[in-house]
Amino acid sequence: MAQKEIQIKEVLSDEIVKKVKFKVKKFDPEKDDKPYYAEYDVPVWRGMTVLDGLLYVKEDLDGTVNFRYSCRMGICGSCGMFINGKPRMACMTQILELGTDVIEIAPLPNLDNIRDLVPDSTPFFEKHRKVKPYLIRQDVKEQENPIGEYYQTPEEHEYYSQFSFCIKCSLCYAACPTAASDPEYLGPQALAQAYRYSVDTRDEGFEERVMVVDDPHGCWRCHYAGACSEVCPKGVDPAKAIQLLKGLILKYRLGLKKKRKGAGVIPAHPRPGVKKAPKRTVVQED
Amino acid sequence: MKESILWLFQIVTGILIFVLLGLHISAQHLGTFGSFPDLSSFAYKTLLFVALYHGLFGLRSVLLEINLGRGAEKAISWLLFLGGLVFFIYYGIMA
Repeated sequence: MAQKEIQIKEVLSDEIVKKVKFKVKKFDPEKDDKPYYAEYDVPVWRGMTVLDGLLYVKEDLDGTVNFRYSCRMGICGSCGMFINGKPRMACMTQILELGTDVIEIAPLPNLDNIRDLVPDSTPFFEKHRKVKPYLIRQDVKEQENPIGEYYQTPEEHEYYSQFSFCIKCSLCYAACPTAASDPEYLGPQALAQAYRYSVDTRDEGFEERVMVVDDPHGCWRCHYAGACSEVCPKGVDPAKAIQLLKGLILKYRLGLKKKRKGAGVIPAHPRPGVKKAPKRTVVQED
Repeated sequence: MKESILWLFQIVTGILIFVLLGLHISAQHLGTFGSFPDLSSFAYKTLLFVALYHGLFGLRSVLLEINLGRGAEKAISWLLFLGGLVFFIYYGIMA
């Protein structure tokens, strides 16, 4: 018990352990001709993340530093940055674990820079939208007036479970060597999501997605460098998803892929042993 | 042709090169097809065809990554196809 208390104290201690130099890439398109590095001395305590360090800089040293963040706990995917030469989440990167006295922070590569550490994620999200990252169904009646849930076994959920952890932080896109040379390349995130929805037993939109990804700038441009999987903060492994997607498309083109209908609906009630579902809280207006 | 099928040929020709190159080397240096010159010629022509496809498709992949625009990409694909065809006819059929 006493040992546990000491450990907690050590972790939460606000005692300054050392000082590090933050080299932050700054660029204001309205004022600057080209980007430059500004340097700040930041005191570090145990448990301090790069995002904490940037917030310290913003609050105490230079209020003009711009960066994007939101949840501070690796869920929203907003604070992706190029930290010490690698795309990382600022909120998930412990300063002491970096093991350097100088921390170089730049905006994510492969995306345009809006200002300081803020990348323009528009092309990234456009590509994500392009692969139709949602369930496509033919049963219009059920879509408009659902009577229950689509049936899916835990085993079927496992087909795509890992790939559904994506938080759209764009670290994989920033790390991808193909995306660096080919701006039209769909990128690891979008392709992994194309696979994620294509193997979902509730989906019926594989043919529509194939039209998008079976393209000279689609999944065939992936050289399996694996950089995307290396930097993914959620263990999604987009490189694996892309290789599986290639196999799926080849099966389809060679006529070896079985056609399947999307999973059926289990009416919410009555089901033996299961209580009646609560009434809908959101009422659809006509 | 669909990109997936072109890519599949790339993989298949890669494997075929291993086999055909072995046959070609053994035919040239060990005289494996000594009494079957037609078979040796067929192996050589097939090797030339698959090697040309594999190499030119690889070159196309590299050029497409430069992102020159859809029009230029089509032109590159046709140029490489016609170049490969002329090369094969000249060195594989006419030679």
